[in-house]
Amino acid sequence: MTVIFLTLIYSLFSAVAVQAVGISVTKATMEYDNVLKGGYAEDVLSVSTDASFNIPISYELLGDIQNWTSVDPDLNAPNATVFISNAKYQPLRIIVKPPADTPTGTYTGSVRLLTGTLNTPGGQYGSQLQAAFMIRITIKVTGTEFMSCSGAGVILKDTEVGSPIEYSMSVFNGGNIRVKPTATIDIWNQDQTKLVSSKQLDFSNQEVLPTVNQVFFNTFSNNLPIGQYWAYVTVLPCGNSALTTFNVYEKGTMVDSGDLIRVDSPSWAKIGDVVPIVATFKNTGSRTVSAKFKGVITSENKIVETLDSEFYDIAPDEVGSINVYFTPKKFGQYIISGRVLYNNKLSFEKSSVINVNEGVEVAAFNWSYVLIIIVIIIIILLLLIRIRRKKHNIRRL
Amino acid sequence: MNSKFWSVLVILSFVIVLVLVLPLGVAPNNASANYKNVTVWTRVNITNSRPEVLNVSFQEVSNASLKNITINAGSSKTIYCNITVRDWNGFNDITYLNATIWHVATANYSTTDNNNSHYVNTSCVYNASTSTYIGWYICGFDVLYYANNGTWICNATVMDTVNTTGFGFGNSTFYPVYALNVTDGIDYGNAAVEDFTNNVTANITNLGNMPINVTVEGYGAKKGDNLAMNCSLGGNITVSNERFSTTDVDWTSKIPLNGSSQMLSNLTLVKQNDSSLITNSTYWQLYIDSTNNPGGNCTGYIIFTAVAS
Repeated sequence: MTVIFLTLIYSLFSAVAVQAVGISVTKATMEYDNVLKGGYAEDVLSVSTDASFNIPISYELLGDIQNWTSVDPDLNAPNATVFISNAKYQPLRIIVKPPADTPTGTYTGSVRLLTGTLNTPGGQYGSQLQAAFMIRITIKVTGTEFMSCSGAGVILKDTEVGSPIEYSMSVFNGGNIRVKPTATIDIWNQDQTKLVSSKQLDFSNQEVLPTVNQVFFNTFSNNLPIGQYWAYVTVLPCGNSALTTFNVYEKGTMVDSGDLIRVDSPSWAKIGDVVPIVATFKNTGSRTVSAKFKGVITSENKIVETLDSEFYDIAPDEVGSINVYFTPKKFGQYIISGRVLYNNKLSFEKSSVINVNEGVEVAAFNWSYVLIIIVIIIIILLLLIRIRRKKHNIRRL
Repeated sequence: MNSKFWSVLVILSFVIVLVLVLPLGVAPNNASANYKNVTVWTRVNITNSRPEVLNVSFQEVSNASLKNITINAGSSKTIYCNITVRDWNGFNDITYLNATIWHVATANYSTTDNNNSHYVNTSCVYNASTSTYIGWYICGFDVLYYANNGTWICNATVMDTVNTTGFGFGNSTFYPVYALNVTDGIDYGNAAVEDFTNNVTANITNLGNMPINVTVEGYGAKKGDNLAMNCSLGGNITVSNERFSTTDVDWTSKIPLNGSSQMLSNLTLVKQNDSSLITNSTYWQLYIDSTNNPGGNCTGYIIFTAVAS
């Protein structure tokens, strides 16, 4: 009886203890074409697991390519602390560097990614399991050099008078030799009619390796006055050009920033309705701003009403709603457009529409009838005066 | 006096007729230089305009810059269709927007919803306006791990307050995801020396959207040591004394494990197709060989390696 009971308890615990975890990868094969002897190439995959807890991972290199292939980050390094979980995809760069004396040809091999052991069995005899994924690698080694690159993602950030201008751009090396990119930045005035200044950027002589997309960012000095500028950026030796814009503001104005996300109003309304208009504003700056909505309501290109809300205090990273109200008096389409004024800065303009198609229109006072009546009265008076004068003249005679 | 009064009255009446009545009888037509051409006033009262879908794009929630999508193995991933809509009655005239995504190669717009190839969201959310007449809507989809890889289309249908509709679409690529899930241990329990343990099942499951094959290999403490297990009181068990099969067969029909990868033959783990999870069983058995004097608790390692099918 006791044996049966213990067996049942053991079976129950064994069943509960069986969990399952795994490994997932985003690429099962990787192909490297036109890799130069003594050159460099890389590709990226992601590895993850369906487990909710952290699992250690390691790798093995197999086949022809194991001596000139590496994994970054190096999961096998003694102090490596790379873990995966269902909340974390780990990107891995698989880097190949064929030696300079590698014969031209196609080489194959594999990278095996392994999880750590998943659990320790509780019984006297047991096997711990590891999940793994074998990624097949094919590398075509060539002796022919070729250069190909492209620049993109050019950004010049807004700045304040006298503060440096931050820039960033990326350069992708699509060839099989190293590229040492430079860039020229021609800064034009707001109308793009006058070249204000030119800058030559050498990115500290940094090289971009083949197959690598590298981001460059730094600053350069700024002596531009307040205003909007256009920057024409050319990346060499790639030859790509890009046009972008940036602003130079007064000192201190960069602290506050915000975004008028939208202006909401009902799309249809009746004459006489009190229509709520809600401006949704996000404070993206680092301090609380006092914000109000300022706008106009137009209909048939005429301003019907101006809008000016109360001030609302909106904390950093908070989204606030600013309310104003409008009562339409006529049929038609009303366009509400406005900006948020916050700490003396204005947001971009946003707008909304109200269509009024129901209700009773209040008739406007028709001044033309009054004018006609006045004219008639004047004529009558003139006639009466003339008649009286004639009478008076007849009596005199 | 009387006749003058009447003459004044007649003149006044004439003036009133001129001022008030005659203008009503004059049509506001403009005769051009050519007498045969007459410009006639026309008027139409446009009460509503149809909403339009200007742009549809896919994106991952966690990384908006990625146009193509990597789904999560063994779980779901929320992806967005970003839809830009224009309505000349104002973007706020839009009352309803739904979106459908489907896998181009295996489904179409009207396919019944299924987690492999077709999802519908009937409650898309208004996010922001970009101008007076243009609004930006977001439709979220929780895409499961076995959604087919390849090209997907997102079709958006928009409706306004008077039920007129517009539609538009965009596309994206779902990347392949290879994922293997294994039972986290094989526990043979207790056994005496020279005994065969009971059959123990280890389940393996495909939790990606691509078919995979699986290999197995074993070691005691270090790869290539030719052992199945090392024991706490000394001794060990040779690797070939641990056997496996993909069907429930007896010891003699099972395949001896070894230190290099062996494919689980006749077993391709196809991707899941619905919520009833298909797991594949492998069957394991151990012979406690007395040759190497195993004693105490013995443990070893088995690696299940997935490869693209």
